[in-house]
Amino acid sequence: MKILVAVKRVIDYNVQIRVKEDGTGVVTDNVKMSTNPPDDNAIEEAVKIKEAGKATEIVAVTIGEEKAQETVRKALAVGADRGIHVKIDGIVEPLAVAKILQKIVDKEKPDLVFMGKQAIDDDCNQTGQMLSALLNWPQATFASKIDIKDNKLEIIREIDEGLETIEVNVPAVVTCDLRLNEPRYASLPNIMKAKKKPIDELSAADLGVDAAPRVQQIKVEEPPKRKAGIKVSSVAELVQKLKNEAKVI
Amino acid sequence: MSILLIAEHNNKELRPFTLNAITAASQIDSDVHALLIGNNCSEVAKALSEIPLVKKVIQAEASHYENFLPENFAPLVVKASENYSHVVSSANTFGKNLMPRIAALLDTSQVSDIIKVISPDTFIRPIYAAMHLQLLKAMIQKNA
Repeated sequence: MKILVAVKRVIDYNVQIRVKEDGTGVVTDNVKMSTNPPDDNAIEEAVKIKEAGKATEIVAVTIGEEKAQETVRKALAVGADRGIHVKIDGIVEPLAVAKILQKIVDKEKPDLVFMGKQAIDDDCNQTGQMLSALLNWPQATFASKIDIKDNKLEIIREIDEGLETIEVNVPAVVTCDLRLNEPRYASLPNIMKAKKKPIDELSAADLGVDAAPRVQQIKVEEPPKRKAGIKVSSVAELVQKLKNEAKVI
Repeated sequence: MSILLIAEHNNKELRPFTLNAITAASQIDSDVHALLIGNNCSEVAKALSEIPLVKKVIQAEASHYENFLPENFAPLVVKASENYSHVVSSANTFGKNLMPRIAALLDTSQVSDIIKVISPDTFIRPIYAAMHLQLLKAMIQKNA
């Protein structure tokens, strides 16, 4: 079984995000970037499956600017066999990402495609579902447990009402929840070894995908600040304020 | 143009988040049609028809719709959405599972998790885990 894992480079989850003064986006200069956390879970799961002898090859793919290659390198350092970097600048919308991944799938013919359930920057939660629609493959979103059974997967999904168990046929697209596993750290020798693993470089144009945005971002702003609370001295005052100011009773 | 709203339910009753989606849909255009897909879900259809903002209920029943699988729902919604400008659903795990599949089949981008409708093509949505707000203008017509 061959697994393709898609990874995205985002602002590190520990960074305090700041909005640019002109409202055109968020500050990314001199900000620590890293792999989107649920994508780390996706890589980890693929590596575990390979370690269990159920996968033969793991290919890590990323789509983005020059430096996005770091995320592929990191995936190689924790166990992926080779990488693909589709170079493209600016915002790439989930639909364009799905179309690019579709072309990669056509080329690589993996049995499974893994990725995080959503990116922590734009919080879209769309790419996996879109890819699965374009490929006409089954989808298993928000996976928190994956069991491989012959040519099927038994997957436990995290949904609002609790947990849902589904069975999907292979090939399939699986999007991973943070609860799926605990991603490992790359060891220094493996980081060194990863530098020698091959990464193919492509462009969206090479793949014949129109990645032009369909949605325009007008501005990014901070949410309204929550007003400070006030203290009341008596129950009577509280009731009076609830009645006349808040008008809730 | 009219709005197609996909109702979330459990074949017996409507899920409350659908009501939020109905209100949001009505802010885009007042002609909201609810699409109900399921199995033996007539009670839900009745409940939907009693909501004042819903102008029309379209009910689709089949045994393979019983478990709300997006692989089965998406082709039906794509077909049903032909005469609508927007497709709207709740932004919970039901909508998140289903809507991108529909958007991809329609070859349109999707606007996820909207918290405010500014105009039929302009929305506000949270980004960075709701730490910041993004004002978007969709250059396409079908949104989720």
